Amino acid sequence: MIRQLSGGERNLSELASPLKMTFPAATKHVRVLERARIVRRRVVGREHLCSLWADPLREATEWTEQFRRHWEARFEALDQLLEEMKTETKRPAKPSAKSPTGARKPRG
Amino acid sequence: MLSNGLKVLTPTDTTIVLTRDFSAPRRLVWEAMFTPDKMRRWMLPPPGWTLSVCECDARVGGVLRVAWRSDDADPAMTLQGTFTSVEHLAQATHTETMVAGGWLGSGKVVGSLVEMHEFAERDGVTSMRITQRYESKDARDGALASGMDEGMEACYKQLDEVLSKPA
Repeated sequence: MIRQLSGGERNLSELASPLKMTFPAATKHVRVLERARIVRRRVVGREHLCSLWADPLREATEWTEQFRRHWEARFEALDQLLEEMKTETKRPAKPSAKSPTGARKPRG
Repeated sequence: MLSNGLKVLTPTDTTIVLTRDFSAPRRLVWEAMFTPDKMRRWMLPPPGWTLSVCECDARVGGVLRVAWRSDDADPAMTLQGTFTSVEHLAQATHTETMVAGGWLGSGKVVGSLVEMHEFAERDGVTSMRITQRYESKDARDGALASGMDEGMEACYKQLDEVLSKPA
């Protein structure tokens, strides 16, 4: 729905049909998005035209913020993985392996 | 914790640039980014999806293949690409085509981009910059919006449950 709206103003049936949603279900979804101030609606004759509050083309901050969060979640997982990888590389590859040249370095 | 904050920039109409620092040598960051068993750890699927295929050969001409499975579809989404330029540990560029409901040729292409990864290490900290080049401004804006879709998917699922219950 939001992706469609990012292309511009749409009426309710335009929003409902590609999602195989009934008209009342689409109305309910739009109402929730309206309450969250993501979507606004204007009535022209019998048509309910919906648009996004923030124009993503001009005011990209909120949109970028969502995209940013998605990548940040990935990168936080990457941080954790890298910590594990760092610990692994510090240890000898095999617990039983003999290390005649002391790989242990004093820290600090 | 170091200040390693992610920055998302849109320097041109068709690009997104992500920059992020990692407290690890770039050898490890490279390995984490391009080794399938490591990629599985951070390529987080949308809620309800699982990563079913993950192949990556970070050499020029090497192939990238990723697929996600949902309860309804296998694959639900695929990503395929080819590495076009690689300087080991410094830079890797690959094409990327996302296809819904199948692989390239059998599903619906939902987007294509070229993704460049650059790595620079200083004092044990690796700065990674990802530059995504989309085919058009609309495609770029759609990608920015898709982050929103994914973020809201869980909310929608809950919403659907609420709405499907009789009042």
